[in-house]
Amino acid sequence: MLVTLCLLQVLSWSGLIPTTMLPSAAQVLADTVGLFGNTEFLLDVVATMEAWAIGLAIATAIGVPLGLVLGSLRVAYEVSSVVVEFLRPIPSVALIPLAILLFGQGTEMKASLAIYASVWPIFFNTLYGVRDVNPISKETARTFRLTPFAILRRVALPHAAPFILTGVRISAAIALIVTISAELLAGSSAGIGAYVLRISSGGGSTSMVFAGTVVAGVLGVLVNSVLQAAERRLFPWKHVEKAA
Amino acid sequence: MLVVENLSHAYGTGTHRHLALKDISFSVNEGELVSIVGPSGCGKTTLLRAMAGLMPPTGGQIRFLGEPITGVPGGLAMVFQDYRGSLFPWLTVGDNVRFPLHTAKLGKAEVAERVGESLAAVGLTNFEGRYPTQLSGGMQQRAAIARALAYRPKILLMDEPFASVDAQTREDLEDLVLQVRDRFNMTILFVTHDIDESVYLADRVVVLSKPPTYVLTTLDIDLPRPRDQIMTKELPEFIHLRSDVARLIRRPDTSELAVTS
Ligand SMILES: Nc1ncnc2c1ncn2[C@@H]1O[C@H](COP(=O)(O)OP(=O)(O)OP(=O)(O)O)[C@@H](O)[C@H]1O
Ligand SMILES: [Mg+2]
Repeated sequence: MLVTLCLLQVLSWSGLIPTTMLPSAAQVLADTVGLFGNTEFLLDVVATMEAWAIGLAIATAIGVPLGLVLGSLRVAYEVSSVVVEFLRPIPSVALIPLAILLFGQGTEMKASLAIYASVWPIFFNTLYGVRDVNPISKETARTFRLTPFAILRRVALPHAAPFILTGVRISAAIALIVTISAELLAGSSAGIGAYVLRISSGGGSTSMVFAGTVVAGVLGVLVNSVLQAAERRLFPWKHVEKAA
Repeated sequence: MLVVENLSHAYGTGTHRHLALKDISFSVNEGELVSIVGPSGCGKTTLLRAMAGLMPPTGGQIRFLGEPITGVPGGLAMVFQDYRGSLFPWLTVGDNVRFPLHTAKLGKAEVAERVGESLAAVGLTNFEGRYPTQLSGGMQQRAAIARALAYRPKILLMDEPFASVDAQTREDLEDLVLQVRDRFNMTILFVTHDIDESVYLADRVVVLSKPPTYVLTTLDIDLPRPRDQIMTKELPEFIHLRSDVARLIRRPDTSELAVTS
């Protein structure tokens, strides 16, 4: 994003492209700051974040338990892998018409698409995390007479936890992109995507459109760094200095 | 306490069938320290896993406290060869030791007491808050032993627990086993491929053949206790016993005469 901004600035200085088409970075930054005082826009941000958060939360609530169960049961995995391989390649934008039919143009539609797109990284990371458990760890737990469910909770889940959080972090970015795309393509009434659409079709300045995009990028970076910080706090054993 | 009768185990079926254990019988009495020594790949881990109830053997029977083993029985703990896989990296040393006490219905104070006592017994009191990866291999295996002690098993199975530590650490850990055995009155079954180690530790040594594996002989070890790494190992009886075991494992057919004592 920084690179894009620099590029914009250089292009505008060069005078190659008229500023009505391509605004200067300074102009975009000024508009971005201005947006934070714009109540209407802030409501759009809230609408996007709401659909995004609901989508990501539900995707996690589906992907983690599913990954845990399918990761620990070989048979279940093989049966379901056919379904999974069929669903996974469907791009979420292709589902927008269906989602509109089912859920209209509001939060439910956006969240459902976000769920569809972001459930996969969470599911697969959980699955691989569970599969990655050292068999000796499981046998150790068995010798202490833990039930299969207790082994899942006290051995497989903690082992898979860092994998899961990485999955959530990847999915967070995907869910944000999908939410905003859905707003743009479905013509939602609220959201960052809806804002960009309103400005551009209402003959507003390109600079304002760019500013909206910058805000979306900032949100993505912010969410990513919060989750990265959580990773360090939640998994201290991953970060201790190892003995030789 | 633990009786193994005509145990056999084959991996795979048809042309891939591999008979790892042919016919194993022996028993461990309460309070005894029995070592099982055998060449690499002779099925020692297979035998222990069957005894721990982790895997049903394809033939024979194992009884623990009179009951046939069908699943993992209570009162049995295992120290694995691979301590890296056996300790949970996401738990501190203290929490690893606490891990098996979760299922027992113990009060907070009793749990803390057991953890403290077990860590003290293996000399890791000051490392309770560390993560396993922050410890050396020998210390990690101590932590695994502490965890087994905290569980208060009636029998402790140890599968080549010191195979991957250096010689000095290994001797220290052997003495640690003897100490905790006295202190907690434990029954221990110790598996190793190291002949000196098997004789040094045990009241009795069960010597296994090359696969398909059977029991070559069982030797009583009447060496005086307490044992000492230097003094015990220079005793003529020790040297005789270790030579007998070595001969048996190397040339089982010709050496039978040497152990008729
Ligand atoms: N899960 C398995 N499937 C097939 N064969 C196996 C399996 N586990 C062990 N074996 C084979 O059974 C034999 C005995 O293995 P086991 O690990 O019990 O021997 P061991 O005496 O413990 O060896 P080591 O001294 O290397 O620890 C070996 O030939 C091994 O390859
Ligand atoms: Mg082994």
